[in-house]
Amino acid sequence: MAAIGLLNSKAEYVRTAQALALNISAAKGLQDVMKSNLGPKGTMKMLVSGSGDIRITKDGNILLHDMQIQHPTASLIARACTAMDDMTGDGTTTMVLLIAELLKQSDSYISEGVHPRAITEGFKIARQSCLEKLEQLKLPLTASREHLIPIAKTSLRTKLAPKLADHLTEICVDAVLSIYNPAQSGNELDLHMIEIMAMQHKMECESKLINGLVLDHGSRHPSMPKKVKNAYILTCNVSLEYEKSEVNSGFFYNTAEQRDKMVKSERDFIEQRVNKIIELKKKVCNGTDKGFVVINQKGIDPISLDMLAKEGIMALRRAKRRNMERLALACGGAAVNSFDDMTEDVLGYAGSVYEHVLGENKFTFVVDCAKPQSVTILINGPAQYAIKQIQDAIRDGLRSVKNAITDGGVLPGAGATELALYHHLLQYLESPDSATQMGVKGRFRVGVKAFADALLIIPKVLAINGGHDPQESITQLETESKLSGTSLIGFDINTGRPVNTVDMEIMDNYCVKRQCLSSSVIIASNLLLVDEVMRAGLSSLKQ
Amino acid sequence: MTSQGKEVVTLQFGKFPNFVGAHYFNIQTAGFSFNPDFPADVNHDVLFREGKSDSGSFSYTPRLIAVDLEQSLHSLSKTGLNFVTPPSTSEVQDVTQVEALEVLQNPQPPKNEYFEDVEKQSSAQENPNAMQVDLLLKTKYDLSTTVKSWSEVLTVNLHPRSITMIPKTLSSGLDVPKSTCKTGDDIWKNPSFNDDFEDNLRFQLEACDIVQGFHLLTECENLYSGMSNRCLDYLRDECGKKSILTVPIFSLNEDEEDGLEIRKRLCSNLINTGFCLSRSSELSDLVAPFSTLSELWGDGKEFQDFKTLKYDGSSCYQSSAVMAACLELISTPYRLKRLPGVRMNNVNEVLSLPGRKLVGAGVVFPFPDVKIDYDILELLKRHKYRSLCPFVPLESTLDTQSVTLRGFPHSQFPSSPALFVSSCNVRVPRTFPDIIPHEYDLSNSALYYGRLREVSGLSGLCNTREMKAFTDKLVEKLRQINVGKISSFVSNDFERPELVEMMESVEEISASYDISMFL
Ligand SMILES: Nc1ncnc2c1ncn2[C@@H]1O[C@H](COP(=O)(O)OP(=O)(O)OP(=O)(O)O)[C@@H](O)[C@H]1O
Ligand SMILES: [Mg+2]
Repeated sequence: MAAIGLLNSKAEYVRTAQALALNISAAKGLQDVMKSNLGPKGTMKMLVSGSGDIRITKDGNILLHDMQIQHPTASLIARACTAMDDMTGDGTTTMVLLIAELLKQSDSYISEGVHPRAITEGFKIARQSCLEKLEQLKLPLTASREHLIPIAKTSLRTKLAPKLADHLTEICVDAVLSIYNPAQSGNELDLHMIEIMAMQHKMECESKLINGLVLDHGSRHPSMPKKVKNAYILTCNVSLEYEKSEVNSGFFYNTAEQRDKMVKSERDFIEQRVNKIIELKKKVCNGTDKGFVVINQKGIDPISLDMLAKEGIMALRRAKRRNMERLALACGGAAVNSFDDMTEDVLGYAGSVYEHVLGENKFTFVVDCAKPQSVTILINGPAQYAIKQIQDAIRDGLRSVKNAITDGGVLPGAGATELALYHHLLQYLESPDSATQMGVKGRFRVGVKAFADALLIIPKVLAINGGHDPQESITQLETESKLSGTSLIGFDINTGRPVNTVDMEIMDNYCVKRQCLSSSVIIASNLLLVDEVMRAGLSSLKQ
Repeated sequence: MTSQGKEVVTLQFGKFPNFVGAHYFNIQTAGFSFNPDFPADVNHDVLFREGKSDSGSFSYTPRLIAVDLEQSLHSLSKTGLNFVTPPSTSEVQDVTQVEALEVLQNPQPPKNEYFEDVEKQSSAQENPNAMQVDLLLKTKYDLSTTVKSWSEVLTVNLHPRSITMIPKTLSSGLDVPKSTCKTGDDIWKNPSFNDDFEDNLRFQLEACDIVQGFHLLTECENLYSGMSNRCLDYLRDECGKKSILTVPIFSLNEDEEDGLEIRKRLCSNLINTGFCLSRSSELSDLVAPFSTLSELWGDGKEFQDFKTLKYDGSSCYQSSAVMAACLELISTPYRLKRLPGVRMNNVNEVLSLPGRKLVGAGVVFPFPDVKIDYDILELLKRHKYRSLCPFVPLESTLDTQSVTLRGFPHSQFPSSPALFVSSCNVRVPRTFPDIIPHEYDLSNSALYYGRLREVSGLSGLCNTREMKAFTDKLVEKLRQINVGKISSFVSNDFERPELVEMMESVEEISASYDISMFL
C-alpha cells in the first residue's frame, strides 16, 4: 500500500481525500443532531433506555454518548467532549458545533485546492489571537453574591425550567460562598465539601440549602435516641466490628462453653474501644444538657451499638469517607483514627442531630452548626429522573460558580463573545502586523477567515433555537454592537433582539470558552490532517 | 434467624462475572424454602439483604455490587427490575415543568419466553375477576439461543444500589476485549463512576452487622483487571482483614479477526491477567481462577469435560452456569445454619499454605451417585474433581482442600474442619440452561410445569502444587511477549518498570508452588 503510494501519489491523494470527506460528513452529522441542544431554548430530551429507564437532559456530552457512536471520527469527538466536561463541566455542545463548523468552512476552501495544512496553520494563528482577545473581554468579578448570581443563573437556565433554575441559582451561589475561604485561591475550592443529597417524595418538591450535613443513613439500634440536642460529635475511622483476631480451625467443634469463652476474649478488644467512647462521653456530658453522637466510617456491630445505646449515645456506622472531612468542616473537631489518648478537642458540635425516615431510607441531619464550612444541598423531587436532572444541573451550576471565582472574571454570553472575536479576527486580517504571520503569499489567511466565520455558528444556532432568523439576528447584533461600541451586546433569545448581556445577566465562564476554542482547533486540525487523526492522544487537549 | 454478622458482599466486574452472578443468585432464590417443614440448610441472610422497596413492600435483594457497561444493562432497569414502563411524556413534562420535550427511544430488547410467562402470571394474579388461572412457570427455560445479556437470566430483583454502571460517557469507542487494565484504572478514578461505586458499596456495608467477607468476581483479561485491583485496594482500606475470595474469570473470545489483531489482543490479555494475579494474590485471601476452557492463551480451544454435564462451553450463558454451580458449592460452608461459627476465614485457614493464595476449584456436578456406601476418601477417589482452573487437572497431589458435599446427611461422615456436608440438594433455577441430564434430577416429580429440578453436588477448593502448571504457563507466555517490541497500543499504556515488576511477582507466585517449597 505504502509502496503504491510512493509510485502513484495520486492514489495516496484519493485515499486522503476520501478519509477527509468521511471526517467532514461525520462531524456535520453530529452538528445536525447536537444543534437543537444549545442554549436555554434548546429542546430538552427524554432518553428512554431499552429497559424503560428515562433520563431528562440537555447536556451535550450525555446526549452525544447516548447515541452509541461507532464511527471513529465521531467517537474521537465524543471522547474530547468527555475530556472537556471533566475539565470544566460545560461547553460541550458549543465545542461539537464549533468543530463541525470549522470542518465545514474548511471544506469549501479545500475543494478549491487549498492544502489542509494551510488551513490548520491559520487556525492556530486565529486561536492564539482569540485567546489574547478573550483576556481583554473578561469582565472582572469578586467572589460576592451579586457577581456570582448571573453566572449560576445562566448555567442553570440552560438545563432547567426557568422557575426551578432561579430557585437553585441562589442555593448554588450560597453553597459555594459558605465553603469559600477568601484567603485561599479559587483552585483550592473543593466542591466536594458541598454534599448533594436527594430525597424522593411526592409531597415536597422544593430543594433547599442545609447549613450542615445530611447523611443518608441512620442509627441501627431501636433504642438509640432519634434526636439529640446540643450534640458533641465524635467523628472516627475505627472499627467497632468484631473480627476474629486469630484463626482457629478447631473453633467450631469446641463445646458451647469453650466457644463462648473464646468469643468473649476476642470481643474484649472491641469493648475496650467502645468503653473509651463512653468514658469521653461521660466526661463531657455528665451533669450538662449535652448529647453525644458518634459517626464512624468503619462498622459498628450490634453488641457495640447496644453498649452505646445504653449510654444514650447515638451512633452511625459506615459513613461516607468524604463525610469525615465534611463533618470536621461543618461541626469543628477532627476525625480520629484511634481512640488512644483521645481528648475533647477532637469533638465537633452541632445544635441538633436528628433522624428523618422516608420509606426504606433513613436520613440523619446534623444542623445548627456555628459556622459550617461544609453544607448540603438537599434535593426534593417526586421521581428519580427529576432528581437526577436537578442533580446534574446543580453540579454544573456549582462548577460555573467555582470557575468564575478561579478565573476572577466571566465573559458576556448570548453570542456576544463569539461576535466580538469574529470582529477581532476580521480586523486582525486587515492589520499590517498580521501580514508577517500569514506565511508565503498569505496562504494561512484562509484558515483565519474560516475560523472567524465558524465562530458565528454559536449565535446563529442560538437564534434558530429561539425561533428567529439567524441572518437577520446577526445583522441586528452587528449594528447594535457598532452603535453601542461595547462587546457586551448579545442576543435576547425570547425576542430575537440585541440586548446588553450585563443588564440581562447572561454570563459564560472564561475557562470554558478558552478550553472550547483550544480543543476545537486541536480536534478539527487532527481531522483535517487525516493521517494524524488517531495518533493524537486526548492528553494533548489539556493545557 | 438473622445473619448474625456473617454477611458476604459480592462484587461482579464485567459481563461474564455478571452472568455467573445472575445464575448464582438465581440458585439462591431457587433454594428459598417457604415450607416450614423443610427449612433451607443455608442461611440466606448471609447473601441477601432485607429491606423495603420504594413502594413500601418487603424486599429481599442480594448484597451485591454489579459493575458493567451501562449499555449492557439491556433489559435491566436501574430500579433493579427487568423491563419497567417509563412514565408518560406528559407526566414528565408536568414534573419537570419543561414545555417541549423530545423523546429519544433506544431500541427495546424483546422479552424472552421466561419473562413473558412471568408477565402473564402476574397479570393473571392482578385481575380479580379472572377465573382461577392455573398458570405456573415452567421448570426450565433454556435461553441459549436468544440470550443477549445477563440481565435476561435474572429471576431475582436487584436493589437499585447494586447497579453500578460505567456510564456511556466513559466508554465511547472502547473495545473491551482489547482494553488494558490502565483503562480500568482511569474509569475507576473518574468521579462519574467512582462516586457511585463508593456510595453503593458503603450502602451495602452499612446494612451488614459484621461482614465476614467478599466474593469478588472479575474478568481478568481486560480493563476489569484494573478496576478489580483498585477495588481490592479499597476493600482492604475500608474493611481491614475481612476475608476476600477473588475469582478471576477468563473470557470466551470469538476469534474471527485476522492474526495480527488476535496477537494484539492476546498480548494485552496476558499483561492484564498478570496484573490481576499479582495484585489479587497480594490483597485477597484466596484467588480461584475460573474458566471452562482447559487451556488458554492460544494453546487450545478445548473445553473442560464435566462428565455429568452436557454443555456448550462456547456459550457464555452455559459456561457461567457451570461456574455459578461451582461457586454455590464452594461457598456453602460459611453459609450453613448448622455451623454458625464457620466463616470464610475458616476455609482460608484450611487451605492456607505459606505464600500460596492461588487455589484450584473443582466440581462433580451433578454428583452421579444416589447412595454413598463408602467413606470420604473412597468418595474422593471415585469421583475426581473436574477442574475449573485451566492447565490444572486437580488429579494428583491436592496438598490441602476444602470439600463440600450437598445432598447427603452429614451424620454419615466423620466431622472434619475441611469437610462440609449438607443434606439439601442444589435446586436448579428456571433459567438455568438445559445442561443437566435428566437422570440426575432428584426432584420427585416429572411435572412439566412447576417444580424445580434438584441435584446433588461435590466441590473442592484445592491448594495444590499442580497450580504451578497454570502460573508457569503464564510466565512462559509473558516472557514470549518481548516487552520492548509489543505493539504500540499496549506500550503506550504501560511503563517498562511496572511490567518488569509484575513479571517478577508472577514468577514469585509460581515459585511458591515448587515442590521444594512444600518439602
Ligand atoms: N439567556 C440566554 N440568552 C441567550 N443565550 C444564552 C442564554 N443563556 C445561555 N446562553 C448561551 O447558550 C450557550 C450555552 O448553551 P448550553 O449550556 O446549552 O451549551 P454548552 O454549554 O455548549 O453545552 P453543555 O452545557 O451541554 O455542556 C452559551 O453560548 C451561552 O452564552
Ligand atoms: Mg452549558
